[in-house]
Amino acid sequence: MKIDLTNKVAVVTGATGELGRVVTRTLAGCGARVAIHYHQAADIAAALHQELPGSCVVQADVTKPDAIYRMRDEIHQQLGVPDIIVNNAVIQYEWTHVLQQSVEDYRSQFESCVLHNVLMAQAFVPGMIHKGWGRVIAFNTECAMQNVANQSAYVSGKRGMDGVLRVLAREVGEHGITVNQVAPGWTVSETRPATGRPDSYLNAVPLKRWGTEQDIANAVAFLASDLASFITGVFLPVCGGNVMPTI
Amino acid sequence: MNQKVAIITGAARGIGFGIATCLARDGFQIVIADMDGAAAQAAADQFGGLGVACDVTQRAEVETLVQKTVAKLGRIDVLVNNAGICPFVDIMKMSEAMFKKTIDVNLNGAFHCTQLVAKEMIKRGDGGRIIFITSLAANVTSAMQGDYAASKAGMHMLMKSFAIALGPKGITCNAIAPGMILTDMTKFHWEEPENAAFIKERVPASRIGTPEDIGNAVALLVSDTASYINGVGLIVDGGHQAVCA
Repeated sequence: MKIDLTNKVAVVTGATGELGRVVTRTLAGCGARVAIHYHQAADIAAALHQELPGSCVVQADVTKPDAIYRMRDEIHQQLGVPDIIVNNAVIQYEWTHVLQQSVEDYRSQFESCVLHNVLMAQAFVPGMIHKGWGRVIAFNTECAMQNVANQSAYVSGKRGMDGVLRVLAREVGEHGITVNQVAPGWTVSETRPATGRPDSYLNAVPLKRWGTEQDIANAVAFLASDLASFITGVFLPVCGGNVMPTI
Repeated sequence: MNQKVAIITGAARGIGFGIATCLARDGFQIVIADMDGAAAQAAADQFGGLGVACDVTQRAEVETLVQKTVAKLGRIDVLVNNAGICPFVDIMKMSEAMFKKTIDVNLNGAFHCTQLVAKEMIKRGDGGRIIFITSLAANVTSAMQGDYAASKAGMHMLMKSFAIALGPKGITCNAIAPGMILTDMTKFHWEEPENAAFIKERVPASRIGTPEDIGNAVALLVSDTASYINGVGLIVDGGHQAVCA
């Protein structure tokens, strides 16, 4: 299927991570001009910018309102008002039991999952309302449905953002703005091969293969397009059937 | 013979026809299966496709559908289980015969079609895509939709079972749950002012859906780009469930 994002401006947070890079390239490949957000990896952002004509690079701590608004203004100046935001950035931390996990880890997940999505909406959705068209796409995770030991901080952050985004979908739909989540499974890439991972995971995936970042980015591109204009408020797993939610 | 082939049941009109339109746009050879054989062929003619009379409750007719498709087009890559009925009768006043018929068409029909088409896909060994058109009613119902809701919830679980069984064969199974969709059959209802107002009030997208909205979602899930999406129920309702769930 042909996905056309010509004349659209997109923002991808955490665009320098492995998934972020593939999403950024995919949206650009569909014709969008992409604002490449990074937090610390300036060199990777610069390389991606070189690779993608029409893109720009912006730096921000996505948990800080002032930084988000500064980033928004820079994007407005360089690319115009964004039509699409892809909230991908998340803070990494060491997973452990609830009884050992630090309060700071819970705070980091609240800030990078819940608050990140709130701030991105507050900064960019008004411009979408003005245009009468917009796409808010955020990454959730299959982990949010699995409740596996050691994942409490991550899962609580992701479940929290789920609530924010479903409410947002209801609040902004009348303006032609859709709000959706893509929930990846465990993916592999060149730098993160499957070597050493437990067989039990793959055995449970009906398709019997690992997902790739491209699998995930394809779903994002579809949801960003006009083809998905009546899809909003959904949680779309892309995990080969490892989790199968009730509708 | 290299062009991919999609069978859509109940596709002579309405949502099914919208799905056929989108898949034809994306390059599929279209097979329209419908109770009304003449209407099926008339619809298929619009895409240069094949129309087949088929009552999905009759396993022998589904077998014939598979055989005719393979004989004329050589392969089956996609099945869309779209055929369905919704009598809209109060569950306390519904006859046993009516209840059984709804289950037979919506749920048993999807079972027959999926099992028989999947056997053909497995035989060919090149994977496939199977889509179940369910409904928001699988999750949110009313006294007037007891039979329909039960059949659609059943379809959703049937889809998951097939997704697990067929995944290792490279065949993905997913469901699409439409919300309120404007078709020739529902047009009179949604054009009533109070019903149009209901859409504005309850659907965040502030509009009723179209058969092409559903067709585009099907087009995604049957495409190569969605090869890792399996066992999923994709709601296409303009956000309505977010309001009513």
